[in-house]
Amino acid sequence: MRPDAHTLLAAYAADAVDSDERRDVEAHLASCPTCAEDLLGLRETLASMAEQFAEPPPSSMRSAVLAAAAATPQVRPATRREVLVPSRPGNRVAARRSPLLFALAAGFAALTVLGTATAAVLWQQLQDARDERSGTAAILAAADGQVLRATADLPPELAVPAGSGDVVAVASESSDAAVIVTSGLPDAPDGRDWQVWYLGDNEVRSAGLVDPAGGVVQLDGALGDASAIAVSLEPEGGSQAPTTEPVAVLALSS
Amino acid sequence: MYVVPDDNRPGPARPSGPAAVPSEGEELAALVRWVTLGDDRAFAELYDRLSPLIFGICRRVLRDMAESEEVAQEALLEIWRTASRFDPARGSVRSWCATIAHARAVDRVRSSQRRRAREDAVGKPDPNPGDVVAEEATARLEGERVRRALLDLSPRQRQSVELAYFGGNTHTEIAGMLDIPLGTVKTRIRDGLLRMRHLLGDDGDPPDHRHLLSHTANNHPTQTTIHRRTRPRRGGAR
Repeated sequence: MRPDAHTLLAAYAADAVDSDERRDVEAHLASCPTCAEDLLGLRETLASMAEQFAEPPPSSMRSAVLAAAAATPQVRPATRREVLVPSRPGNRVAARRSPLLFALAAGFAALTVLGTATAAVLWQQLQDARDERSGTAAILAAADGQVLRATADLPPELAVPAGSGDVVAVASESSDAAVIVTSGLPDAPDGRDWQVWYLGDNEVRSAGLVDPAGGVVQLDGALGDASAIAVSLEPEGGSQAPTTEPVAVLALSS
Repeated sequence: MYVVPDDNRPGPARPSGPAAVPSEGEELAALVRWVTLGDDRAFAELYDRLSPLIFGICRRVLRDMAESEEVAQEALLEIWRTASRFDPARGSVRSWCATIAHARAVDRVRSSQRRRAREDAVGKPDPNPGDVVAEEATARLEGERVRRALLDLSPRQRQSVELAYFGGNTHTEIAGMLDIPLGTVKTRIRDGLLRMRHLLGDDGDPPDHRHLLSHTANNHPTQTTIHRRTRPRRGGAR
């Protein structure tokens, strides 16, 4: 890093640096939380200034943008499998290779197709739950809520149709709680349950069992300092700790 | 209203008072949250609220109407695509969107400049866009507070800030255009922005700039007095 990287912060905020300088400043920002904080303030100021030059775009642009958006896939929230994945290789193999599960697969296939919801359905469920007057609605409406979404990485015997398999959670630090909707998952096979976990730095806490047919549910326990929420397939009634690799890990932004 | 859907519903009285009404920033953050789920209604409302800001930035930087429209559309699609990366702990939706739009507009200006430079081998950028912006700003500004803040900058600060932000120039180019040392340009941009920040200080929770000043004061007299404030505790950071 060149010594003057931080003196370029204001110019960087205004995009008035060349690409080498940009790299220098970004390297500095990664290691200087104070400058990173200052940058946020400078950007707010620039946005206030820019606001004075606001100008409605041509009206034809609206439908063009909305149509283009409808056809443009979105970036999913980053998932961090590595934060979690309790190293239980034996169990993982058992879950993936279990002859019992393979045997069950055929029987569950039809149910799976009927039982899983697409992302649009999940969204509608969340939307409906937000409109209700309930505890989950309060969490969904919290100003600091983070919407977390991941597509489940399901074992072949539980495969779901394309477009379904999404798990969505909304976590709110101010409410110290989270809700989840798992209707994109297939029903758990007989003798097993879907279990949700809060993943902290050094601990994994159960957040309760979930039923894909259960709609939007509030997770058990407090969000606390969890950095991610995970879903795994566990023996019926749940486990003390995950015994299989999670099918979905939803990382909270830090 | 979209974000507070139960406003008109029968039922228990909603708590009244300012605390019960979400701020504009909270409403925008909630909209972005729904956009992450592919909610096209939320995106349409976000468009209605923020497209003038985004298009305005493109117009100031790019001037050309068709090019501005094209870049504004790209910026709005980027906002749709990357909504999941918006982090309310790291600033407002407005500043996030302005940052995206400005970066795209500046990219476009620079690539056009490079193209023109290749074509006619005349690399000198127009030295006057900032002046034009300043005049238009004073002529058509609506926001009294920000207008006053802009006018309160020294003419040199204002010129540097505008050449940088609206002209799409790097500080090195500005130093060449104005024939002044590089360090002076950096100082003017920084002091101008810090002064703006100070003048708009009642607008939210300005970060503490003492660190920035102590790093950069060097030999240049700082023209601003930054009120000391307690650093706001930013929620959501983990």
